Amino acid sequence: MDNFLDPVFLLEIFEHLIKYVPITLGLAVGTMIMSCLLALMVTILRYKKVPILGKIGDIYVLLGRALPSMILIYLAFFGIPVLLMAVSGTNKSAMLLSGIPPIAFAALGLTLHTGAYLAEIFRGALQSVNVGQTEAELSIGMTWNQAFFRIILPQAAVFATPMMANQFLNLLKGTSIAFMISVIELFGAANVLASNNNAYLEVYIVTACLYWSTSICFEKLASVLEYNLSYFKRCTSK
Amino acid sequence: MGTIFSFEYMIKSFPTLLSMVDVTILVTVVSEFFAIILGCIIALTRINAIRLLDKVCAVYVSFIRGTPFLVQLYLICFGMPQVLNYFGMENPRSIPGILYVFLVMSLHEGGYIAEIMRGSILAVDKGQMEAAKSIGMTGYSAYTRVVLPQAFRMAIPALGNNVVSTLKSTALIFNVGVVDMMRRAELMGSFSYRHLELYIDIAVIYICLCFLVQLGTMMLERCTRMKNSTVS
Repeated sequence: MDNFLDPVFLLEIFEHLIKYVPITLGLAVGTMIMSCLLALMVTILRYKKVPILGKIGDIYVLLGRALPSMILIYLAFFGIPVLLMAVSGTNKSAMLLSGIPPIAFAALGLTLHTGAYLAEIFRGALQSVNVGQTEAELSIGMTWNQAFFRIILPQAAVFATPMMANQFLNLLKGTSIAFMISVIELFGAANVLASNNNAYLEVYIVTACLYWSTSICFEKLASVLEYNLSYFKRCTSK
Repeated sequence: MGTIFSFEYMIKSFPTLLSMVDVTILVTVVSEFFAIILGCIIALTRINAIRLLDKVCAVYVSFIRGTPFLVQLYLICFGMPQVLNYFGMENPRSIPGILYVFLVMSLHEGGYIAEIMRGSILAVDKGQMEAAKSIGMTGYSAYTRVVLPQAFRMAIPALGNNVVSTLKSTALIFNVGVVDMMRRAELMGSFSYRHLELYIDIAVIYICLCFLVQLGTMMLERCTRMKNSTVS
């Protein structure tokens, strides 16, 4: 390294690393979809106060928010093979698991982490929908399911969108932790590149810029989405 | 490997891991202290719209919020020695890693606290500032004596959340060579092949710490609220 922050070298790094942006995005989007489903399930269980499952949901949200995502990923990565061994009593299932790519474990760990946060967001959003709405639907003879999915959820979704976008941005940044269990996404690739070329400063500057620009794109997207979704709020407030 | 999950080993290794908790607490406290100072300075710069500086602060906050903590950590911990070397420092690797960690954590949390403080300073009634100015206070004393104490009281819940997230980010600092609970667990795990037990131990420690922080926040909130009610 004779030249400090050589622009040609920076461009080379950029060309190499931009190929890994889709992997990071895929991991983030996939995790987001799964954690939305998980959070929705947990929220409904807590909202309806289902006897035991609702309590389990409470405990899950408490733990999911109190644990660093790093530890959740490690628990998924090291814990599931042990769990399977305990259930089957042999080492065979662990052998089977070694065929699963580590990115699946990363997605699972991040899903558990994000799901807990989203469950709290959904709970807040549901509370912000007027109680009279549910009463009105039930009084006109809708079943609880119809009322929830047709009337309550669409309104709650509007409230939840800004916070969900925020959570997605957090998740996008959180995917960088996946490299700890040998997933080669943007940050993992950057690490390999940095130690191969012994050029830490340059590589991490480029990586930071890639993450930064991705975040800014999604921030803009979220604000457009929020503006469009809040149409009915703007109309009623006029 | 005899049993699949050894409860005994989990209990036995708990004190060893707990003895490393001081690093986690030290990093959290030190970086949160500097982050609050930095956050207040940035927030005041942006609110008072000091020319050019507020643009710099806006870009800084956007950068901190737009890039992962790990990237910032690596950028400073591995990139900084390179910069220091370029500017003629003899042996930048001799600086202990924990100092770099203090720097990164303060800068990172400072960016987030800046937004929290900006919100809560703006939430303080405008009349307070005007009243303070009208009785002849300078800008500095008006902020430190009137506006900031009120802003801090409003910011306590958000700052508590921030302390929790700082606490949780400390699980990542072992990546740059600081020996904390995570590093110790990794070392112990490579001897005993019992990673799961060790990480469950750490999870328990983190839950306790988060719980304590939340308890502290709630108590602080209650104290400040009582003071307020006696005044009014």
